[in-house]
Amino acid sequence: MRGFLYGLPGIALLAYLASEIIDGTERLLLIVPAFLLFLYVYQVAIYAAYRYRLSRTRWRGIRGRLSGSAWGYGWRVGLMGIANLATLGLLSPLADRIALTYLMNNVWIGNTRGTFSGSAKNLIGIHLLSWLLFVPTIGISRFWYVAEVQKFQYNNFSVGSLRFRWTQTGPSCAIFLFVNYLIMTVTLGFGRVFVTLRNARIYAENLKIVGDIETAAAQLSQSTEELSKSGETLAEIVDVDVSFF
Amino acid sequence: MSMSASSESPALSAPVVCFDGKSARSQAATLSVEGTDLVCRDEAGVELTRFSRTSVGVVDDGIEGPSRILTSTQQPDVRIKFASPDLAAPFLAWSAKPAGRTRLAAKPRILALAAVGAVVAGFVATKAIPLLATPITAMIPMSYEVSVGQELVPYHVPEKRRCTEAEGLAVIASVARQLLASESVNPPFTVYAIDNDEPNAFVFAGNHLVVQTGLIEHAPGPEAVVGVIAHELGHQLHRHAMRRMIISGGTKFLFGAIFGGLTPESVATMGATQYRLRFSRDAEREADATAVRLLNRAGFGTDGLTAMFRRFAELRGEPHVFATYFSSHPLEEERIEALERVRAPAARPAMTDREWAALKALCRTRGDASRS
Repeated sequence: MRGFLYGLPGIALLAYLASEIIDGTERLLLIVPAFLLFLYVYQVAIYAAYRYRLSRTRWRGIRGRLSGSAWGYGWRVGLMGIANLATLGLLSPLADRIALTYLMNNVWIGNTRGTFSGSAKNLIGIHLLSWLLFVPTIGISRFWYVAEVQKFQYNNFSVGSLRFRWTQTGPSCAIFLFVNYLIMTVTLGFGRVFVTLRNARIYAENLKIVGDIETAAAQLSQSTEELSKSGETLAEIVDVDVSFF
Repeated sequence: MSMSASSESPALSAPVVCFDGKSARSQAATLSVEGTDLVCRDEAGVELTRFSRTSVGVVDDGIEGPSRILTSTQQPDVRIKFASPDLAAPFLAWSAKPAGRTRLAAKPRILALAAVGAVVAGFVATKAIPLLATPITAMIPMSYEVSVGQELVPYHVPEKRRCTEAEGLAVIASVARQLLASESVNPPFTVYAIDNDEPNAFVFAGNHLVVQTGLIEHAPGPEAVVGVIAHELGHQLHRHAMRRMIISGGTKFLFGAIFGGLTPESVATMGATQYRLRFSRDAEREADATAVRLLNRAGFGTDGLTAMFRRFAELRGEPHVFATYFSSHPLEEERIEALERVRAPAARPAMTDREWAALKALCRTRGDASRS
């Protein structure tokens, strides 16, 4: 099954290449399924990569884990992605909420499952405002929205009595993301190493655990589940990088 | 922290915070050396965890500030946290692994895998890709090849080098038409002549034929030019240009995949080019064979092509020792020998004196291509 999964991007690529040499409406019959297949596999790859990374992430020696189905995540997020595209991004808050709800509710630390309580309502205001400012700010306002999604992801997440907080302010995070974008574009991608380092630093500085840590930690014990055997190959095939904690 | 003088089992001990890998609870403890093991005990002396000196690893590498966290490869969930790197240093020094034991056993396996990978890659590049290129080429519609060829026209036939004399171009078109009389060719060939001293002619994707003035200048006679045109048409009847593009793309992709995303373009290109050259020599032999068929059917005979190869051999001089490896074409001597084996005399002249003169007059002015 896993081998088949790794072959899917190749099938999408072949379909796309084949469409290049076909004229007329038949071309759409190949391009559209190729695009949808790639979109789906892209999301599956993201989830599989998260699963791998979490299974190799420890807090105080307790391993993380991601349950749930990458296929299930793929179609949920893929369908919402298409709907979002069709509505020119109008559904972004809903799409982000659906993706994060599925993802974060399947995060485990040891024997304790995470809970995500975010509502799309939290994002609608900033979403609409950033859209209104899109033209005057030549798109930079959308970094503000992305920054708010980052806060939304962690501020609404808890594992047992452990609660998480993203301490960076929205504008500060927006500037940070914009600078990352500039580094990547100005250096034609060669500056990726700096972006990776900046990301690691920003996570270390801004992702906090709040509350009575010792009491919460005492309730967390090691999971007996086996480590995920899938790696990040699929994510590498579709050229996607993920970061979690 | 205390330390004795014994080198085998020093009496090292230090206060630490121990995470036993079973719970996230932090436990104040003392880490000490017992024999060849490191042992964590709580304040009541209860053993929390134990692992051998050779399995010690550093988790944080100092990035969390003044503390230092150790773990064990035997028990990767265990964490031992020191208040400072200085406290951890003696334990790390004592646990340092003797030199020469760092995964040497894994190397033969890696080398074996690399060798198998190289053999597989070699097979794919030299056999599988050229083998697959033929059926893939057959599946590509001619309409697509024509559109590709159209894109290539400005590169292969630059405007400033184009010969425009209609009479000369008509002669080339007429020769091509006679040679292809018994073939089904669609679309018809577009012919060009360009100002270039190199004695050559070539075809490219989409049925485009280009004759260089150097070929006409160096040719021993009109039959020789006709022979070369027949050879080039042979290439296109086998769609070698398209096949070559597929092989080139495939081998480039393969070398890129082997050497990774950071592959210098030159490495991938070098590999692809070498295998393309090898393919090219096979394609030349195939085009020669087809040229013989076209020449015989048109009644022009094979002597013109043989004469042209003799001329090429004269122009080339003595072949370099590596010529057979690095050349895109087989050596002329080999091709002449092959042609002699199937020699057929001409039944009629290749062209009139007037037509030959028109060919020789090409590129005195500039103009358009004509259709055969």
